[in-house]
Amino acid sequence: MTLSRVRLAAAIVVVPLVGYPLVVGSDGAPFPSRDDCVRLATPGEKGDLDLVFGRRGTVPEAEQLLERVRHVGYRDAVLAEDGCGRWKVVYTGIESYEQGASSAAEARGAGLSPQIEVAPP
Amino acid sequence: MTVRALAGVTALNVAYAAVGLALLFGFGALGTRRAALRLAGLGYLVGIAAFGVVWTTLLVVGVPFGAGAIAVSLLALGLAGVAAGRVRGERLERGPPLVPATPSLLVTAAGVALAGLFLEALFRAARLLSLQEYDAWAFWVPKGKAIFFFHGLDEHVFTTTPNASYPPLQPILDAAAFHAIGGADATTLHLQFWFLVVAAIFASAGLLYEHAPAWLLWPPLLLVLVVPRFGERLLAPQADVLLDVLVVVAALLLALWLRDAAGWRLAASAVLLAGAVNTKREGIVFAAGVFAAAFVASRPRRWPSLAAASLAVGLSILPWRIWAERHGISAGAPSSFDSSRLGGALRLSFEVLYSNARWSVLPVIATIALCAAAAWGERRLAAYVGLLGLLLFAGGVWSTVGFPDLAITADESGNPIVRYTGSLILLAAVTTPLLLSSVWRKSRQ
Repeated sequence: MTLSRVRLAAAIVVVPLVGYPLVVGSDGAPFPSRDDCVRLATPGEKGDLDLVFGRRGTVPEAEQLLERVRHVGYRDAVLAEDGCGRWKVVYTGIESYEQGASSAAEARGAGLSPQIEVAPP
Repeated sequence: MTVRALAGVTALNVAYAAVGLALLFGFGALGTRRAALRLAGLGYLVGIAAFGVVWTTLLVVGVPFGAGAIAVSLLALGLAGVAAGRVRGERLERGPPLVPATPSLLVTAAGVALAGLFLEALFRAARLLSLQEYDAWAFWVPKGKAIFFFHGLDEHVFTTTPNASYPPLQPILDAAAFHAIGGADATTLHLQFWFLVVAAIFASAGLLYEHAPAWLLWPPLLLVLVVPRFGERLLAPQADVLLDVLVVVAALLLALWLRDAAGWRLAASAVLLAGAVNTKREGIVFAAGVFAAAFVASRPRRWPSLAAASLAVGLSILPWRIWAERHGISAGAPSSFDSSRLGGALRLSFEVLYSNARWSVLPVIATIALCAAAAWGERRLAAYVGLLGLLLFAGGVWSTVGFPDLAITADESGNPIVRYTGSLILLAAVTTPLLLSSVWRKSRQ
């Protein structure tokens, strides 16, 4: 009697607590990664765009990159949090994808690694 | 939220629980390994309160806050607890089964399963929530980020953000979570608050289970989790839920201390209330109410130990107040008493407390339980809970009367009375099982 009561109690706890995550997980429960904070723009993109020169884990590292970017000529580049725990060096004055592509090409010529991204909301 | 961030914040919260359990061991609370398991939720709360109070003092004296310093402080607190326990001759025996295989085992199992399901659903929300609440993004989380990025009480952030007089315990916990997460990720930060909810349920059930039958224990605990106003704000990255939990679990410990005079309960409640006064300004009002009610309801021979605990809690707020005074931040207490607002404030507090739309039937059930205990149950317990409830209620009225800028309205953008009343509702949920079980036991004698 005691043993069956213990087993029944264990079932009352375990079945729903294991079953619920299994049911939910079967539909897909992905864990986000840091890449989810990077939305690369594609040619013809119409929304707000940013030219992002890179991401760093700490403010001092990001400030070093910012200094390089400003030295090349992007005086209005700034530091911003990227929403995934990193700091990005970003120039927000991009009006169109074509302008961004042109700027990115110039920056690459100066040894930087920029990419055109869809600006966060 | 990445898997690495989840693992980090989980490790930090397990460390809080381990440190708190070590402190409880030092207080002589455990005795058996099964008691340690039962009190793990309380251990977590003691751990975060002790960690927060210690770091409030360390930040005031200028110790830099970083991952290494967090680890060292947790280790030091844990070792201090273990050493104190060893000196007292404490040992951990195996002990009797945690929950005996009586018919109430099935009720306990159902309660654990329902609470667990709720917590699993809450986790799904917690891991992906964004920062929405005004207070959270206006000052609570920015203060946590300031401690994380600048390793201390940045003068600019801590003197110019709204509600500058609030102590820094919650931002300290936020900053520690950011270190564990690996960055100032305000989304994953919500998990820190999820762990607090888990610990609050675990602590309440763990403390009550020896004092109330399972069929009286679980319904109010489950109800408070899902009542509209309380349930929907559990994960808000603000200090309100933390304050409510610290104060109410401390009040529950003192209610049980009135029964058995176990010194560890008083020590643990003092740590929790020290955490509360270092969390929000209201914490001082709440802690004063808890101690005042305990003084009135206890026998005079217990007053010296109660006075010592009150003094320790009072002293714990001094470092922050010294820092605040030196930086020109006032205490933020009500500045006047406009008697013409008294009637409206009383009516507002009453309407909010008995608002069915906000708290369902919980305050009504608690009031009935209180009256029943006063008439047929344990009168000392009823006196303590009743007086504490009245003092907390009076504190809410006082804040509306004393801050002329507050509108006499339940609209939360104009008056924080709804948020304030959350502590009364949580108190109602954890004391109702005690009050009703005292009636039940007396009726069976």
